Amino acid sequence: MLRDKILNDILPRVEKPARYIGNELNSVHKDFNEGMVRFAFAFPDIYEIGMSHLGIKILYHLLNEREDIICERVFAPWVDLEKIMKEEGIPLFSLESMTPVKDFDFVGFTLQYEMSYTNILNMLFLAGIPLDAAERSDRDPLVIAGGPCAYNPEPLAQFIDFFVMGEGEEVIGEIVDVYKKCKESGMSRKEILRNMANIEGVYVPSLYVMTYNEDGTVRSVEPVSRELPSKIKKRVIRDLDETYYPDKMIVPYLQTVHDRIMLEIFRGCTRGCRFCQAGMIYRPIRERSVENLMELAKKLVASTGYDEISLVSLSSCDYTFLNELIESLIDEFKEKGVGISLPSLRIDASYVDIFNKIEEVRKSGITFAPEAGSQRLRDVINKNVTEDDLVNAVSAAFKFGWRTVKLYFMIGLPTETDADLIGIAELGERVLQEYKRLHGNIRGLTVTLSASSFVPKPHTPFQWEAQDSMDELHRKQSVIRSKIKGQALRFTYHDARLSFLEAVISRGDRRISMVLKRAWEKGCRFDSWNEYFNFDIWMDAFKETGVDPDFYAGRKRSDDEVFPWDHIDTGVDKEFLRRERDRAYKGRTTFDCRKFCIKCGIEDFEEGLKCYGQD
Amino acid sequence: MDRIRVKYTKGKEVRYISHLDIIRALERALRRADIPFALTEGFNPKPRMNFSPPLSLGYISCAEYFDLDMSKSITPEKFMERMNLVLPSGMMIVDAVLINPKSKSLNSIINSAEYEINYPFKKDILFEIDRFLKDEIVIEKKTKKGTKSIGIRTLIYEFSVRDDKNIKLWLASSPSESINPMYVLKAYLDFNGVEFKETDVFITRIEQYIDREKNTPMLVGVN
Repeated sequence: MLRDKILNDILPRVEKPARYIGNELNSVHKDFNEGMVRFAFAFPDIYEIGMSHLGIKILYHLLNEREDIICERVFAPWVDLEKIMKEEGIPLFSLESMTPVKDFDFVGFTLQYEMSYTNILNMLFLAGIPLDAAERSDRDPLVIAGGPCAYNPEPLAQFIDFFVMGEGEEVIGEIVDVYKKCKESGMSRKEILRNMANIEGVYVPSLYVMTYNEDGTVRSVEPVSRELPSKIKKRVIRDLDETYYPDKMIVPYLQTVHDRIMLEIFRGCTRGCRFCQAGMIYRPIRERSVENLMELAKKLVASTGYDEISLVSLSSCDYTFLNELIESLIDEFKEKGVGISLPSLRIDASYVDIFNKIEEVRKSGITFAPEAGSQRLRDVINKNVTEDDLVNAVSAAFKFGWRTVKLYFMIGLPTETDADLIGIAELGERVLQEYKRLHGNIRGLTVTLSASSFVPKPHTPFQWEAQDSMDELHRKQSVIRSKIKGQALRFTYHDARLSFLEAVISRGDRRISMVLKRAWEKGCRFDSWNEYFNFDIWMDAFKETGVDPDFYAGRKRSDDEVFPWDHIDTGVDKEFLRRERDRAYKGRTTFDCRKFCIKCGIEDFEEGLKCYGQD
Repeated sequence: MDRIRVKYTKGKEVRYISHLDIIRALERALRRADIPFALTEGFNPKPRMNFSPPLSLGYISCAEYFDLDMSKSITPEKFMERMNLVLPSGMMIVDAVLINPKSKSLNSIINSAEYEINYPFKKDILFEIDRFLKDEIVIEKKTKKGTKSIGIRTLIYEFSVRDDKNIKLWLASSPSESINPMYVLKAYLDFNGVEFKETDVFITRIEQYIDREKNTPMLVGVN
């Protein structure tokens, strides 16, 4: 049996076998009975990364609540196991029952970052499932995908049977119900897909035709039949307190990236940073109540035994009842040695105070994200913080005893000049001076300035923008580096080549599918892993498929261009995005929409869906 | 403050879980079971525990030990009952006693361990044990600087055959002197000119001892 072979013969030969055994605490093991639907939840990266992802935790337990569904997990096998699998013909298997993934009804991938796409192809290949959706038979699983990157589904259109737009809690059950009905009436794969396309939020790319203009831009994306929706509306949960949230979570044996209880305090973000895709696609903001969160926290501590609760969201300091929540959590768990953590910190001295309270003795480091080095550019991107906000915040941190500060920036932002870049180094210098002012010297202080490269993303006000060329990004990196002096200040930056590929894929159309496939055929996978990223192969793949990457990354789009993702409706109007882009050029900021409604479109998205402050 | 000494098993289901990961799993189980444990001082408070020598990855065990300091009293029976309700499958508490809170660490009192080795031996080689044990046995051990030859004969206290697939080894296991049963098996197969296949071996730690009378760390009044 496959299971025995894996456990006794294969696992002793691989690094970290605990990645593959799948019997962790709170994992769900069910026997397969006739009529049950088997769902493989696939994360296209290794176990330690996939198990840190909140979506998998929610949907895994949600699906397994149903008696007619078996949901099991599958991750990308690391290269050592992959090699053995290829040599010995071991198919990709699920963790819980070690069943071949090919035997499932659904294989659902979550799309968290573009550089995981070659892993999807690799996993399909290892599973023995045809890569191209068009070549799959009635016996193959339905390969589906969701998650933030699905908001531009087209680069993967060739490989995915259908995409699910938006939040999965409700739609996933509808999908299984439709599938069961279709199966009972003996429908073919094609007929099943046709039925799936009627579910709101489901996008079946094979039922939509993409045409191009002579200049290579998209002319249109049209459904093949008039009964199909021309726009696919994302799914959105109305009330988080009324929505399923697991009261148990799998507790990995291996240390994962986020090895703690993840307590999701709200969805959406009201800040409106113009570069941020998450801030646009997850609208509107919806908060959980303190009572609900406390109840979940108690249950989760009791069922997992974790010693840390992380309050997760896109911007946790913005939670309306943050103080009340943190105080209640500390009261409840202090004696048990359970700590509280905030994954991101607002640039505001009063939040440093809260942070200090929950961190107590673990003064490992404190991180802020000013994103840009000058007030002008921060206004352009609508990052509503000032230099004084930052200095006050680090000053508070220094007074509490922090000596390690990390500041995140982006380079290559629209309208950026060298003065903005020099501003990054100067901001670092000001932080040093503040420490000196307080402590008389800078002994023991480390300030890290970290610069990622801006990637224009679909569904954001900057979706029309060109990305800086790699040469330009390299030049900008060295402009900053040349201004960094002394031991206390450090400068790190991201690999511009990765940002370039991300820019190509994230705003890609269906022609990018060919490139992905070619890159994978030539050996690419684990592209987000330094030791396996091979840029030259990617460039060869572009050449061989005749696709010009600069067309996608380095081209400024005209105002009326049809985008490959225009048929995906996030609820935020394209007109609003254009307005925000224009305000950016003028350096005009836009209010946080908790103050008043900025009419982004989401307020009219769906009957019964409430925005912040709406009655 | 009370200190409790606990004996637990590590079964097949968790044989690929490393020692550090097992420690974390136990810490979490303590919290789930609502055990009133004492916390360590310092930046990252943890339950105050100490463990018997780590078991190699892939082995199973009938006798692993840890000591735990309590912040409130709890009877060993209650402790076992509560823990066994929440431990992951493959781990079980089989014994627990209160010990002197000033006792020496498990690592310093344990000095030998007994193993059962399951391996598809060819029958005839099992008659060669006496010859194998007669002289010094030298093995090559990998170190950071290369390989080192060491004599292991004195580290083998007992080597017996149970049946044609199972042998039993009683070996030194202290901070200053210890030998992994895998090395002994390898040396024995080597001696007989038989090739060793790692995926065929299945090793169980049967017990850990504090003296040559085979007393275990659970011996009353040991500290």
